[in-house]
Amino acid sequence: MDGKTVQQFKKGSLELILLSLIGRGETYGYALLEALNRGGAAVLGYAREGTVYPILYRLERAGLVRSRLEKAAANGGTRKYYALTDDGRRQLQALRDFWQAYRACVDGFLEQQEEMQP
Amino acid sequence: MTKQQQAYVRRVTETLPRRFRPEVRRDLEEAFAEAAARGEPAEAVLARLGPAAEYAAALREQLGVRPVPVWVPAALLLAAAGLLGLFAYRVAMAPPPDAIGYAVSVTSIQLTGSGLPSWCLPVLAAAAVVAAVLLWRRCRR
Repeated sequence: MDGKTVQQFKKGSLELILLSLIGRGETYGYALLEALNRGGAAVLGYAREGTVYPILYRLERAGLVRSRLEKAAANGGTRKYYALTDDGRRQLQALRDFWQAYRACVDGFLEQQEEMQP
Repeated sequence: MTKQQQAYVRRVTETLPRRFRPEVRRDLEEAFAEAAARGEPAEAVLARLGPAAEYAAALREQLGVRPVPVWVPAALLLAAAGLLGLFAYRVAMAPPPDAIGYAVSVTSIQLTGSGLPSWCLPVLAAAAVVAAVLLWRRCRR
């Protein structure tokens, strides 16, 4: 399969996945990457800081997540924790609803195509 | 942070507007510290971040930083060249220090000293060059 096609799919779903991971509870960058890779590396490919961190900035600028800094003994410095805002929760629900409608729509086309196979 | 990581942070942040630099710097330091705390080599995180230019470009896109059109610093450099040229012309055409002006024709006398003082011209030219260099960095992808 063409790498670019897969890339476009992944790009579109990453925001939804990140919002859903942050929606589970306050979390930080490295933990987000670990959760992404645990649940999705086989399909989405290995999640990298270079891909995820810029998106986190955009989500924060858009008011969908907020962050706070806390001293972190684990890394000897500080850690930035992310949590959903009310707008973030609404966006997550909207994206979830869209995803379910989208999936049903695409599944419908694929089922029809299968039924029409000789 | 290792020297390599420090250089990476510098290369990423130098192309960002100043208001974003402290936060991006802090976040990169956290990424390096987290990896080090887990025993990862410095190169591993750098590899996952990707080339500094690409990471910076991704940040600029997500932060909504619009690139500066290339013609802007080019125009500033041209303006600086023009101002220096005008300064050189004024110096070359300056009347003797005790003169109040010079006659262009029998009936027309022009007084010097009107308009922008000559010393302003190289200062403005230097300011235009500095602005061009700073903006040129914001043009890079």
